[in-house]
Amino acid sequence: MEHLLYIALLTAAGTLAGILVGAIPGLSATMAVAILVSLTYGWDVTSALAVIMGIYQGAVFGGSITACLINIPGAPSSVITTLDGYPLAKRGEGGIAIGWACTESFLGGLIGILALWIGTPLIARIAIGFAPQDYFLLAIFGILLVGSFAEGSFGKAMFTASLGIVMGLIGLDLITGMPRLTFGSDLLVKGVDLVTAILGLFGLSEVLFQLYQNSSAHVIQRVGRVVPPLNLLVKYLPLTLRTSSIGILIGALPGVGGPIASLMAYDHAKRTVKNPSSPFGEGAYEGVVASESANNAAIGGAIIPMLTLGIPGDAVTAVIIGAFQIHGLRPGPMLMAETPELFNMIVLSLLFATFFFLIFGILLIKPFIKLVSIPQNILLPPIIFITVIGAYAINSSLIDVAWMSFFGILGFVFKLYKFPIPPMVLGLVLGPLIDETFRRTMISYRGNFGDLLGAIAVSPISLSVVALMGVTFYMMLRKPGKATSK
Amino acid sequence: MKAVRYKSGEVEANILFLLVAMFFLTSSFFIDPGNYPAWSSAKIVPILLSSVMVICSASSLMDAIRKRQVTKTTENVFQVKVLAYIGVFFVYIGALFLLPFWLASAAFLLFSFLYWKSLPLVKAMVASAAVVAVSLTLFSKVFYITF
Amino acid sequence: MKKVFRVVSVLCSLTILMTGGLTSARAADYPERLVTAIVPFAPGGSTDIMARTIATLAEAHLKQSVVVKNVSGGNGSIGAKEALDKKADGYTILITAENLASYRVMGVSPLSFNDYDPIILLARGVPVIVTKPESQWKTVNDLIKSTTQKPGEVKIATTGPTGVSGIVATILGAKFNMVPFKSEGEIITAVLGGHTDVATVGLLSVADYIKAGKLKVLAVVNDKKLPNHPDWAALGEAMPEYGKHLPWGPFYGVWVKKGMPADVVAKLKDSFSKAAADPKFSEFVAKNELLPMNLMGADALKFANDFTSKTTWLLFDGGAAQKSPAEFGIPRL
Repeated sequence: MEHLLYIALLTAAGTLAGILVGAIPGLSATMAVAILVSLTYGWDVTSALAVIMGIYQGAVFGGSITACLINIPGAPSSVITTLDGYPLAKRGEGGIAIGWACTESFLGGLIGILALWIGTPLIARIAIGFAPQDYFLLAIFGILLVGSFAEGSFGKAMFTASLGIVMGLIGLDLITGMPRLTFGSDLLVKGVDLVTAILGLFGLSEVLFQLYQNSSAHVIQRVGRVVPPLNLLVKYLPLTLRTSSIGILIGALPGVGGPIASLMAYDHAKRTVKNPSSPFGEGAYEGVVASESANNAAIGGAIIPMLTLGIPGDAVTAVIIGAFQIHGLRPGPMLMAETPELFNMIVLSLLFATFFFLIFGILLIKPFIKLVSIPQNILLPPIIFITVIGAYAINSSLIDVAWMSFFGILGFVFKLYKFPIPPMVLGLVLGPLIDETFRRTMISYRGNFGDLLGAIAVSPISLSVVALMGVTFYMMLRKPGKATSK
Repeated sequence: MKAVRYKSGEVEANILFLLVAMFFLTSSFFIDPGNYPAWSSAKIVPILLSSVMVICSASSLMDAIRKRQVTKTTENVFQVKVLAYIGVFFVYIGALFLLPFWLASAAFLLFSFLYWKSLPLVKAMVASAAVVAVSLTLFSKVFYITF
Repeated sequence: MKKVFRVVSVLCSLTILMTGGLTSARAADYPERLVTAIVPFAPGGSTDIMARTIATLAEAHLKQSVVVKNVSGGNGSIGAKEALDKKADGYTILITAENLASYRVMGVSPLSFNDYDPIILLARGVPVIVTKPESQWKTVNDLIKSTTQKPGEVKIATTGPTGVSGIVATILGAKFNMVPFKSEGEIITAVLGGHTDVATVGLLSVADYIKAGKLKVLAVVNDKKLPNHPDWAALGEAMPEYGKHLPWGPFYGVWVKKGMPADVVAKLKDSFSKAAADPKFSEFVAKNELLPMNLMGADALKFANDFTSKTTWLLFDGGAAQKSPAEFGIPRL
């Protein structure tokens, strides 16, 4: 009992740290977990895991706070949350937006844990069944969605998305092992860092844009009720269940992860919700519901291949696998059989973390709201400061700061001429995925399209992905006005 | 019909994007394909996607040109205030490579506060540099704290 | 009390994370302050775990903390470059794997083992060739026979041409259809899911799958059978024609920038060799299915040079390399 309390306390500390790390742009859950891995080197494994799981859950929720309030996603998985969260804050409903993010992250987290607890063998089998061509189809599906949701024209969205994809390919090519699009520069071999890009494209550009708009009048935030009413929560429960399932499945696929999970969930919500509280993209609660439930549900999903196969579902689980190995445990088929109590401990820590971030989140909403209620000319300079430090903190390298500034100016120009920014960030995520999976598929079938089509035709997984793409495409064509106008 | 507002520089910005797209397209052709046939070589995805980029930026450029022709009201986006701030920001990024990180950052933060409080550019720069210089001297000479 | 301390330390580390940490000191008798060990790979990888283990053990002999700093990217070339950019004062060391051998011929970076002095080469890993238990192949000879009968039909999962599995596939001959994946984990899923036929992976990554009966070993890529697993065939014994390339596999070592003061190098060599002799380290090596090396000085240099020759020529002959090793004066063995 005493041990349980101690685990709960550690998880609480981890969750609080996670929320803050998630909320501060530039500090990521990956970094925090990496630092904790070395800090907890000498601990017993359950204590270390309690803190790490707390950070993981907390950070994914924490990223939504700044995404809603100042349009800067604190973590890549909250990029989609900005689409509706920030318009809500601009209307003075920032507190409500975070309230929704918090409760939905909680529900999504719970559903993810449930899937982890009872569905592990099944989901692991589905994840193994995904062949290279299925990943490729999924990545193409992602691109289609990127083009459809954005504000501005379809062409502009596809431009920023493909710019993101091509820039995401800069650096060492995995398949040939040679540098690509680096123009002979050592600086480019490392490639474009996703966090640097987010800091610039969302953070710096937002500050510059505020200066441009000269909006000295700040929005008065409503601080009354921040917890969503029960009847609305019940009303959105079916949506939450669907988007969380998307989150679990996408999270369980190695290398895909939270940003794509929330993108797919958001698109699903947009297509299935008939009468949203406001139009999507202008502050629909349903948008926040979909994105936030999916990205927290993806955690449960990502842990499944990590535990059963020893394969990371995303960047954070990659570091967690390292933590396991440091503690002499090898994630893989024997882990569950040899140490079942460890599995229970992970589920328990995640469960604690989910409840803690609900509590902390609701307690923290009001102070956070106060923070954005300070006048713009006091609030914005420190944000620039944070973006610079955040970029510097990634590798203690000024080159990253220069990159961040470049992305900041680019984002500002994009904002001026109504080029949507989220597609570019998603392009940076999707780029390597598309490139690798396409070429892997082509190599695997030796460039023979007939064999490839044959393989797709007999695989239930490929057929489901193709069917999903077909349905989405059909719906995009049927109401083109919805998808491209405005 | 809604009034279409043209923002100055929109055509030029789109031309720039088109050039960037074409630059990526040409560079994609020069990628070392590695030991792989065309369909799985290192160039294939960059070439396809930069072609998409060229097409999309060209269509966006066409839109911008059309908008410039039909519109009567032009919104000027080149505000001196913003451009000056971006200029000082670049000076700061340059200064990071020469001065200690925290020192340059403190000066820039101070400058930003003053500038956003609508102090003139030069005054804000001089004031922030002076405050940082004075506090640095104070710390090192009086309190013996070095950075 | 200890438990409370841990909770506090989590919060403190967060503070450190946000302030970036502060260091200041004057040099006198080495080591006067923290020694930074650059690991040019992400935390949690095999090199990182090796580095953290040896660094912790070396601290006791150096009488200073050794802090591991992960500088990942560019297949390890970014971190290796950073270690060269720092002063040759012994406060920055590099703990890395075999990758430095191939940067030049792949056009990744001009760096090579020649830019560093070895402190100690710690241990090496052994790749194994695995397949599903129900597979048609019983031995590695069967597998090679199939590839000569049906060239390009057998799919082998690799981590790219410069990865361990890519080079082993080159050693075996170019009759495979080499399907590249991002990590050893993805390779294992590809074989388990039937998306590729065979794979070459580090023994550690697949040890549990073999134990659980989900994968079987066709051969270990080594000149001799492994002492711990005498029932697995060794490639060098089963097919002696590959013997000239063996042993080949990842190895981990501690390196410093050239031009360090002699006393600093001596102190580092002393501390790290004592750390490598620690029973805790032997236990770590055994548990991770590695083979101990403990090469220092001229032996270490010879090993690294021979390794570079083997690897770069294999890459060049296999068609993966951008430049010929001859351009850099790398002799063919």
